[in-house]
Amino acid sequence: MGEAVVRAEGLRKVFEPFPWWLRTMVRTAIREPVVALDGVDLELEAGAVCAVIGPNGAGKSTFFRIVTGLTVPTEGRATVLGMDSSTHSAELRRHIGFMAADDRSLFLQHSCRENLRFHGRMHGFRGPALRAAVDDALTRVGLASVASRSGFALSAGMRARLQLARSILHRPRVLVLDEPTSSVDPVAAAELLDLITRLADEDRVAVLLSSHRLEDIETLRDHVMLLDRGRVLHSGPLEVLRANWRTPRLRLRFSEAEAARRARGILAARKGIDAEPIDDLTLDVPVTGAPGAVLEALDGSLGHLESVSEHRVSLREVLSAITRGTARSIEDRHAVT
Amino acid sequence: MRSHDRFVREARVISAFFVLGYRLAISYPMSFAMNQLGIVLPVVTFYFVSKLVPGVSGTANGGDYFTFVVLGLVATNVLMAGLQSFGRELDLAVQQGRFEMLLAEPVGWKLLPIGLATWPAVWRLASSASVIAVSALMGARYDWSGLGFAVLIALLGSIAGLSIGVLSGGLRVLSKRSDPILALYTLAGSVVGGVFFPVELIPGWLRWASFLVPQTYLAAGLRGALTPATTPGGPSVAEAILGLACFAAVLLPLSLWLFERWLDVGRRVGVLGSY
Repeated sequence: MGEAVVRAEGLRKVFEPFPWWLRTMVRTAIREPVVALDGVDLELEAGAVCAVIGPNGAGKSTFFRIVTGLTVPTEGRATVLGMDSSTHSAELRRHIGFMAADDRSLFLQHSCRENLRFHGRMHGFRGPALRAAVDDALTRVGLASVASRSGFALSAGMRARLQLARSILHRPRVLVLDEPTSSVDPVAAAELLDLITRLADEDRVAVLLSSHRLEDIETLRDHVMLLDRGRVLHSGPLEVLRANWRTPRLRLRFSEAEAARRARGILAARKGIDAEPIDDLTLDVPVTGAPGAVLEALDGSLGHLESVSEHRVSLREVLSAITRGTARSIEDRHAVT
Repeated sequence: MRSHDRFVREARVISAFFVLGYRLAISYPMSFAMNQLGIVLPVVTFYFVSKLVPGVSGTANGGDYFTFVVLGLVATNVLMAGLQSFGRELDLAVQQGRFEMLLAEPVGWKLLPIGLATWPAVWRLASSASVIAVSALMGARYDWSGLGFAVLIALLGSIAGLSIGVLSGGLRVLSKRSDPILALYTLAGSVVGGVFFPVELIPGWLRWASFLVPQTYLAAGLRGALTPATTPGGPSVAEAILGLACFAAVLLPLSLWLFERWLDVGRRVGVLGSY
């Protein structure tokens, strides 16, 4: 185990309604305190990629803002390379490459090279070192051939790459990528994620990224942190998430509704299996042992069985099930807060 | 040595902002040209207005209204260079989604107001010089021996304006649109700053207020440096330089400090980057 580059300990962020003096100038966005993060812990080593996923309002952006020092937590602390993000914001920003969700953060009137030159100057690069850093970043993201092209003339995928180039130009130790694939097509998204994964491997950069695209998360191999309404519902390898939540399932389709009903009763009585009806003719059966044991138990109903297929649970189903199952309790807790 | 390195590094950051501002400005040539025209055009208007006003009440040594009012306009322009530059650039950065990225850059947040305001402030100063040049061609009478003092006064005035602009813009990070400081200042400055008429004409019970706004020192200082006319009751060139230097020395550090504090409030409340 290496040392954690990014560490979050008991992070909690409660957004309060604006104080009265601020409300004289701008209307408060909330009337009650909102718990954006609640007890978030994370340790991320060099070279590791952590995908932070969750529905809108889960707290992903708040978490990223705390890590980059743009928001301070109400409780707990986040550190990057041992520096507290609340108190050492300026220092730790030297070691972080931040990519905003919005590609408007680029200077679209400017060329790719000019965008990176400005950012490089902010990091203290100048002269030949600046030129070399800019060229290197553009080459690594595959934009060297369009270096002089203005941001307006780039495709969405290219803009995302340019944002990535900007975030890696100063060779940061940590990349914080807020929905890097949100505005690009699936092929470009896959290429971008490959690039990010490669950067993590080659440069030993710790990567925190968020995404709404579940297929993106499927392609990442490391750590997944599932947030919902500020709470961590899962933090660990993706496969563990899947394995913990659901066992493999068989999908049985019968020729008659009566046969499907009878089979459901038999499975419950003989195997203690709670098969879930998908429709009148189809059952979704969790399998804890050998699939043959399920078919064996059906015995007399097999004559009406039209098809059997293994149903691989998609990440979407896993996440939907988790968030559905926890929504009520979280709502109750927030009401108390 | 470390403070020297830091100074050099900060100067480079500011120059990067300057280049960025320049390139953004010339990305829209028509807008750039029209802005320039908008600054110079009032000179023509006041040239004709001055035909109706033979002299300036309250001035001595042969002051004419055209020169008087052009220097008032220049004073306002110089002050507005500092006063509005940061707020406008900040608005643009927030609306165009770039502000959060700027905050994520590894530079002290105190540098952002100065960096963002540098190009527009320098451009406005250059425009002010062109206003003086155009008005000279149209018959305004200047004493060019005081040009050095005038440049110094303009620079100090711009810094004083920037200080108030940072106060105002910093509050805008939180308030988003309303800008109480700028609104109050513009209101007060236009009435008591002696731009369109000498402060001598302001009733005694209100005249003290004119010494609380940099416009008074700026307008009187520029007039004192560039024209043979003097304004009785107004500050002399030396007093104007001293007054503006005091404004700059006190207000700039205070406004930058407050700007950081307001950003800290924004970090806690969670309004940075939103609009």
